[in-house]
Order: sequence, then structure tokens, then C-alpha cells
Amino acid sequence: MSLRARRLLVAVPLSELAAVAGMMAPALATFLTFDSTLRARIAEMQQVALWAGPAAGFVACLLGSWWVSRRAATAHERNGLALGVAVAIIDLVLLVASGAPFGALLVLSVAARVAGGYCGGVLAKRSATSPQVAPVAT
Amino acid sequence: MRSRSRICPALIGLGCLCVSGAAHAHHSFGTFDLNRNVEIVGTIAGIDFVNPHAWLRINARDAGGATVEYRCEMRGATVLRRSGWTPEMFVAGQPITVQGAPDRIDPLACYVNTLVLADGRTLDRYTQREVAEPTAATFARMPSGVPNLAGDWAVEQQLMTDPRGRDGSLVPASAAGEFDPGEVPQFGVAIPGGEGFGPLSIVGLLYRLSVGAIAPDIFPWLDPAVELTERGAAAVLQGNQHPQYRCQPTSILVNWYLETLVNRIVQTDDVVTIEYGQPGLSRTIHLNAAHPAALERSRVGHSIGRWEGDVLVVDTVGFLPGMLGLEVAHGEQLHVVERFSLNSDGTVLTREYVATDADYFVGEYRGSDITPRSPLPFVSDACNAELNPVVTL
Repeated sequence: MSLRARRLLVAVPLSELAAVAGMMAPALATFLTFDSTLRARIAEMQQVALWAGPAAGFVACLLGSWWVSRRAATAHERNGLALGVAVAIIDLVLLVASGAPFGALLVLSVAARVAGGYCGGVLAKRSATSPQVAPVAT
Repeated sequence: MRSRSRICPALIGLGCLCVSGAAHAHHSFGTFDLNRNVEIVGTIAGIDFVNPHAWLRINARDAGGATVEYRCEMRGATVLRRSGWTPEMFVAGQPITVQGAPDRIDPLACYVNTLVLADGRTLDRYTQREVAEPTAATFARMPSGVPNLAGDWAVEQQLMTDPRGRDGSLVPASAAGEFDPGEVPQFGVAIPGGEGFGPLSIVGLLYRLSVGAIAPDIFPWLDPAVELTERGAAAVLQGNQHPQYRCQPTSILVNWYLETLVNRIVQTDDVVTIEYGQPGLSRTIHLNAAHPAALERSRVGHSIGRWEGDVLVVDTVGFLPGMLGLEVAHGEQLHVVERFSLNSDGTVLTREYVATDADYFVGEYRGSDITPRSPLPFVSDACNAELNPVVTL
């Protein structure tokens, strides 16, 4: 069983923060560098956020859940999934509270966070169960 | 007088993110600090009833007891008239109390939120007094059978959801009553710089922009979405250089709706003339004619029109280079096609337009506007750029 609660408490908000930053950085860069009218820049920015948001969410949750579960004795996937779901819920709340329309960004962001969390758990389990290479004395 | 910037200060650095941005500079709070209050009790010294903002002058005592002249910024002269306000309401010598927001730079300037007149009446910044309804055309068609576009036309006013103008967002006047004071419509945005707006608000604004929680279409004065060429980007005039902020005409497209001024159309069988509320801007559309071989270029170009059923199609070329919109420049190759049509009872004029100039922007600059007949007769109020300079903080 054993969810690593303390690590989750730290990793969940940090993962969401990193995911949002990972979405906004390329979106903002696009906005500032695209030579066009404001309407076109906003549209382009939102297009970038559409792929950057889920991608950043996946990577952030992958890393976050790997950190949470990497030294766990058991339940790596469960820890990873817990992180992914928790981050997805926070993201959903943020999106709904900000007034984002129900659409691809919302669905993909949530799905990517859950998937990233689970994959991070799997990754941590694999690294935990892979044979340790003993140092060779020369 | 120092700066009375209408360009939102924080977001201009982010590329005019402030939705109106450098664009409708009058729709941000500039140098006024909406998180502070000021009350000036005195007598009216006079009023400068001008666009893009009118200024009320008040004689009042300062902190040291000396009588000084304060200046407080109101909405523009034409939108004030459209809201039932007149300069005659402000008689020199009458007592007045101004509640507003102070200027960050000039201690003798303020932004009007509420006026308390001598008889005790209060007027909020966006108070609508005795606003008449638009009337239908005297006759909907010309004797020749084509629609009669003649009359006075004004795009719907935008009012802030907070009648005092301290926070909230701009919404069409017809919808303003649906909002609580200071409320922001769905997919809208609070005007940057309003009451309670801080650094965190900028982060929130960027986030909401990224996730599609703000719809650019909610701001009717923004240019259509077009990509600028290298030459086009270099030619864009910013801040004080932009004709809009120098009280000069910008173009035949945007001056129809900018500042929601009142425009006038006069129509005969051969000619349609459009006089814009923007001083110094009028154009003639020659019906069933051709462009001359030798064009004399001007800012309004040479317009020819023809009726396609009930739609007046106007083709304009022969422009002098300048600004087409708030963020888009054009050269001599600009070509504009407008399509004017009336609704069934002749009370609403719809204009669709397409502009092309491959040297300055990619593809088409395409937009439309819907303009009701104006209850306020055509008026071309003076525009005073010196009273309303643009300053970027």
C-alpha cells in the first residue's frame, strides 16, 4: 500500500506549477515574437498552449511521480497515479475557475497529467528493480 | 500638464497585451491610481469638452489652503453627448464635488468617478441620462429603388460594468444592465490598472489568455488577425506617433467605429458621401463610375461604388501610405472593398470589409461592423491631443 504522503504533498503543487510554467513560457514567447496584430498573436499563443500545456503537464507529472516513488519499496504505480490524479484535479480547478472553455486543452491537460503520473511510477519501479551494477575494483 | 497616459502601463511591456493595448488607449487607466481615492470640493472653473477625453476644471483649496485649479478627466465629448451629457451642465462658478482617483504624477489632476452637482444630483462616470432610441430612416429606399443609407450612424457605445469606471470591463451599452457593478463578462477581461489590479493579476491575465479563457473577439476595436510582413511591422506607428493619438484620421475603416463617434452618410443617385465623426475625415463614393487612370492619392483614396441588389459594394484604391488600423500599416498598394447593407427596417447598417496590401500584411484584413442609427445628430467634436497625451510609464 503505502502512499508517500509527504513527498506527494510537496510534489503535487510543484508539478502543477512546473506544468503551468512549461505551458506559459512558449505561449508567451510566441505572443511576444509573432509579428502580427493582437488578435492573431492571442490566437497563435492559444494554439501553442494547446500542445505545450498537455506536454508540459505530462513531463512535469512524469518527473514528479518518479521523484515521489523512486525509493518506494512497493506501489510505485499507485504513487505515480496518485500524483497524476491530484495534479489533474488542481489543473481542472484552475482551468474552470479561470473560465477556460471545455475543449481539447482541458481534456488533454487532464489526461496528460494522469498519464504522466502513472508513467513516472512505472519508470521509478523499473529503475528500482533493474539489476544494480556493483563497482568493480581494479 | 504631464502625462495622462491612456496606454496601460504594465502590459505595454508585454507587447500591448492589455487587449486594447496601444490600441484603444483610452480604455485603460494610464497614470491614474485606481487603488486610491481623492475628493475635490470646489467650484467649476470650466470644462474642455473635447475628445478623446473631456476635462473638468475645478477651483478648490489645496492642503495648504491656497486656491488652485484641479483638472479631472471625464469620458470623451461625443460619448458624453451620446449619454445625455452636455457642456452646459457645467456652469462656471457653481459648486461641485469630484470623487475620483488621483494622478500618480500630477497632484492637481484626477480621474472622475462621481460628480456631485450643486443641486445634490450625482453623476457616475458612465451614467446614461435621457438616452433616446434610434429612429428609423425617413424613407428606407431612394426613388430609384436602392436602399437609402443616408442618416447619422454610430456604433454602439461601450460602457464599463462599474458605472464609476473603477473596475470591471467594457461591455456594449445595451448589455450593461445585465452585469453587476465591476463584473467581468464570460471570456472577457478586467481592464488592466483598475481597482485591485496588481502584479498577480498580470500572471492571471496571461494564464487566462493562454488557456483560451479570454476571447479576442470581445474587443470590437481590435484589428482583425493578420500577420505583418517585415516591411509592414517596421512601418507600424506606435504611441504618440500613431495618428489616432494625435487626433488625426487613421483610416476609412477604423475611424468609422473608433471612439464610437457619430458619422453621417449623404446619398444621391450618383454619389454617396461619408463624413466621419473624426474631424478632418470625409470621403466621396462615386456610383457607377471607374477609377481614373491618373489618381491623386490621399488618405481616403478614391472610392467607386455599385449596387449589387440591396448591397452597396465600394472599391477604394489610391491611398497615401499610413496606418490602416491600430496595429497595421499600409502602403500605396492598399485595396479596400466594403459592402454596405441595411436591415429590413433600415435601422441598422452592416459593413463588411476586406483590405489587401501584400507589401505590408499577409492575406486579408477582414472585418465587419454593425452600426445602428444614432439618436444624437452628427457632431464632430474637437479632438485635443495636447490635453490627452500618450505616455508610457
